[in-house]
Amino acid sequence: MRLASLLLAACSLPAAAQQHWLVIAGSSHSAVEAIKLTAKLRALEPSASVVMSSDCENLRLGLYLSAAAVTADRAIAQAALEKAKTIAHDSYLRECKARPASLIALNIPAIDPSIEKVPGDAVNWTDEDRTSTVAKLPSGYLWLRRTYVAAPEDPQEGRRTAVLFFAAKPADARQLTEDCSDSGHAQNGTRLALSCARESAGDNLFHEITVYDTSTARPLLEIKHCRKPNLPTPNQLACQSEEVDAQGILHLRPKQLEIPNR
Amino acid sequence: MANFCNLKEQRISEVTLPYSMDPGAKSVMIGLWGFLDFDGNELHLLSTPYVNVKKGGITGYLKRVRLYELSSYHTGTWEIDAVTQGGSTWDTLTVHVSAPKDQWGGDSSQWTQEKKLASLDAALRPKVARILDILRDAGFQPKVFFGWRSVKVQLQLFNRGVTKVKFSFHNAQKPNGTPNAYAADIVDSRWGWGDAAQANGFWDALGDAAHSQGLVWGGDWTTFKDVAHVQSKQNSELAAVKRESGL
Repeated sequence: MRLASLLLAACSLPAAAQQHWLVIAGSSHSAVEAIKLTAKLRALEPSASVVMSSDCENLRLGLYLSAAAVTADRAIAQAALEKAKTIAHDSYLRECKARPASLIALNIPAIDPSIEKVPGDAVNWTDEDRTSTVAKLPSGYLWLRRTYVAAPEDPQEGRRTAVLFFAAKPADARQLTEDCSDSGHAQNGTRLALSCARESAGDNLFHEITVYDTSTARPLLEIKHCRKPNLPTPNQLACQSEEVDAQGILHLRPKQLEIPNR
Repeated sequence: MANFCNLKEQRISEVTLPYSMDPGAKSVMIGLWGFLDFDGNELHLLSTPYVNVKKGGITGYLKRVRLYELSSYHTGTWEIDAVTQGGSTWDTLTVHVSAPKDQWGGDSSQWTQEKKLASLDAALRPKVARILDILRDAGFQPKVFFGWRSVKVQLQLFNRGVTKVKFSFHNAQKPNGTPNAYAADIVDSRWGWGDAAQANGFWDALGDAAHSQGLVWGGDWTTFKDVAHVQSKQNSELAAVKRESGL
């Protein structure tokens, strides 16, 4: 009985933060600056990447770190540091205690390599558009992988946010949609409702909600012009239907639908 | 001899008028001291058509001042001459008309149709007018919902999360800040973006009309539709338009 209690107590403790060594060649409040330096580092260290300082419990928030290497092995880090100093002489080694469910803890790149190709004079790209994120769900994770697609006449200037679901490991992730901006989600069991902005309507956005079976990534239900998804039961979707009138005013009305068992 | 004066009969050589379209703008009263020539004939004011001159009463010490009310809708610097019947200029008044105060401010979706059309680039304006005609002829009730809107308003919308862009062809301007939009949003005044617009074929008709005028229609976009939107530039020209706008 006492042993069982101890085990239960141990299980309820937060998992110890993973430890990484970062070989930091530079830090910046701007994703663009960090990406430029990281691209230079890659000539020496192919695994160089951008790390979000907010992913590390012990580091200052809000910085993009150009890391020549991210490794659990201090000796490897030390060797990478010597190389990094040939590009950025003030490179240094820093420990990162990874926050649970952070990009670094899950080994997901913060900046997709395609982002390096975003044209320098792109008008509407923000740092948020360049940075992937991950959201912990009650069961599993949602990975918002932000990428660049070279498409000169694209109204979004090639911005894309693919949404992937994985239960535990990013390597097992299944893509739910190839692009989803202004996303919202709800989960109930193996049902996941995902809302994405799909259209402009004056000063408003129209959304589309898709309900997936996360065990197969198969869509079960799609509904246009609805936002703020909720799954009160695994077989019911509640959302707010959207209508924009001729004065450009958005009207939201509650809507409820049965989710078919396909 | 005569000279222009203020209401205190002090000589003036210049005066500043507000832009008459500004809310609360009032006309400015000036005087012409000694408004009669040597023969007792009244001088008259010779003005450009850009300054409205309205003759008033006679006032002042010994009744030697003729009053005039000045107003203008034309920003700039103009001159008014006090001229005898024989054509001699006895005095000249320089009139400065102020720039409009925030003429293009406020909620641009609430502007008149004329003002929305005026906010468009000169080459786009007749094409949008033609689209409206085509749609009216087809039995629709089209209206321009948005022509131009300021970058300031655009940023407010961006920060509210209701738009995905900080700069679009709606925000294009001349380097001096005058609106010069390369895009317009057109809806049917009965339906807006409601389902009835699609059901009654409005968006398809708008797309056809836009194509007939050589414009890009947002309903053709596959990644992110904007069915009410037409523009005269290609999306690949956005960065150049931003530079051209001085932004």
